[in-house]
Amino acid sequence: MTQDTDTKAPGQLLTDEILCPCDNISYEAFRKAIWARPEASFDAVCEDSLVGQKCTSCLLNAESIFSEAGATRPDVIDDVPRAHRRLILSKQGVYAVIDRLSPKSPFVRDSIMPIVAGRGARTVVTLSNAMIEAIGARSPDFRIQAEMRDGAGAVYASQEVLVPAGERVDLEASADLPGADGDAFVTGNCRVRFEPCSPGYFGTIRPHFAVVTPLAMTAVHGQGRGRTSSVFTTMQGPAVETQFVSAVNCANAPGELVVKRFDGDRLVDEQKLDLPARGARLVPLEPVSEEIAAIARPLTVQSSSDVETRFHIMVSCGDPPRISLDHI
Amino acid sequence: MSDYQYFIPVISIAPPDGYRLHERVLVDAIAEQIATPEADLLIERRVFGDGEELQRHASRLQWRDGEWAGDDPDFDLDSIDEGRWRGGDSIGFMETHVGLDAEEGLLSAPPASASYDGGPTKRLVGFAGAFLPPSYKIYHGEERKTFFSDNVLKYGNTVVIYQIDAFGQTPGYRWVEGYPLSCIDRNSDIGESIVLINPFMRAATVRIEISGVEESRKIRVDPLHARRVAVADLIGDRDSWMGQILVSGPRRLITMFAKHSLANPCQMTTLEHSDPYRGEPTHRPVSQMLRRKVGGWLFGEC
Repeated sequence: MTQDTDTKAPGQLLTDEILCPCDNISYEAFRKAIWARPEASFDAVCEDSLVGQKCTSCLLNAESIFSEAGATRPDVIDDVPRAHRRLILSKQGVYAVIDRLSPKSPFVRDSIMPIVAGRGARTVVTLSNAMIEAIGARSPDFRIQAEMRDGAGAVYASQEVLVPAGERVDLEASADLPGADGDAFVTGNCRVRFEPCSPGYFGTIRPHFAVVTPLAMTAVHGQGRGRTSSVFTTMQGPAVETQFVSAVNCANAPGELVVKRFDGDRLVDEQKLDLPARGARLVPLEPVSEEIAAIARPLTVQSSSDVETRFHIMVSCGDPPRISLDHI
Repeated sequence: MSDYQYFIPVISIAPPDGYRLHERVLVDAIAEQIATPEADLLIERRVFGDGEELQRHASRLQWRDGEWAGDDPDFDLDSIDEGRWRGGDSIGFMETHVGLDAEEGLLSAPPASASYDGGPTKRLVGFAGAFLPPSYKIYHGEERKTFFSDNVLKYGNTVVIYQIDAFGQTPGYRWVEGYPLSCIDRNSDIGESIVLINPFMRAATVRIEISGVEESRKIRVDPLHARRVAVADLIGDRDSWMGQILVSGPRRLITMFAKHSLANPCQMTTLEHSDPYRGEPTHRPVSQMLRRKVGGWLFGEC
């Protein structure tokens, strides 16, 4: 973590590094609190030293220090310089010095999201560059490039926009998707590239997409790289519900998509489909049997592809539908 | 290195009325993180409501000869609702703890200096990582839309740690997370709620800010309580609203966003974890990028 920020001098990494920023308590102070009361429990040391009592995020690090410190209690507690010298020579210490001296370069990120439309549904892609008083204006303006493709992988829309700090942009991503006004679901995908215009922090800019229907709205964050397989567990829902595997091909080459369902170790369903280059598919998971629905057994769904793919599970219930999407 | 005796606990909401919760702990993936030939695993589910523990379920599994034996790692929780979700003031939540079953002598392994089958010497004390293999909780019911919820960490969320590392020394800093795409539409029955879970032993008060709404709202959540705060109650008399919600406070709470029918909040659409305000810097040292690239070329992860 400390290599990625430029707020500390390399020397500080070693003895003064803050464990609990809420109360400004260093690692070293926490170690000393542990050593001072070797009989005390982890909770007791935390409570006495105020470590982990507010935001709780440092509890994991605190616990690690607690385990280590119990075994490394020095005879003379203030004998820190030796540990200091050892850390200075560590690989991370060297990297920290080099990184501090190195020029900085903007970190440009890509995010990929499925687009779903049809049956009254539409997809909105949002980039929110919010400001909050508790932190202040710490995120820069972001330059956004969005490219929308249909299921076959053909580009049907693209946009370039600037999202200034404190503002947001909502893109109607499915507006021009062929078949978007029809009675059946259609799918595509949106790739968003976001580039910071000046140094700062990412804040809330992470792209999200929403699928809005006449009855419901769902929203999910976009994701970076895809993968070649996914396994998840689901339940067969009520009769008015259909579940789908959504697959977006992140690669410039076509691939093959295989979706299998298992009841325990038993294969109950297998579908194989082409996955066009940069294209997308929605694969319905039809009910495998009335028996399985009746006893509500979990089913394992394995999705795999020979190209880098971004997978989601989509659940559509009723008509007009309530839709949800979750990355898998 | 296998330093972890247990995984960071994860938190789920108790199932709203009409729903049942199914949780699968991926023990085969956990087995890949066990450094010893034998281990005993304890999975504990603790259900809390109204500031106290209402239920506790334990499953014990044994890892022997490359296979699991013992209890079923899957778990089903029936609704404890009785109007809790609709009322919102005490909705109930579940903590899942997975760890080595220390009380029953979890390790029958040689001392720490030993090695197996010519492999590297390992410290024979636990798991290789602190994070449970990811899996969704499934909420399902006969007349309900199925929805999923992923593991929400009780503590140790690295994105929150980055945030505090970046901004913790800022005067007036408070922990901040939220959701950029929230929506209310009274004409289309689209509703949404903020779920605030306090699994800790101290009360916490958070401030809720809604884009375009001038007035912020403060909400207190007592220890071992969880609340559902209807966004429709926070936007005044607007018929519809879509935008960003930010939750901040001096103490962190587990925050989720539930999208549901406005008229019947038990008719759920989805449940999402919130997104912490990100403290990762937008600009990186060129040396770090080069190092990663070289590592990628060498180890095939570019």
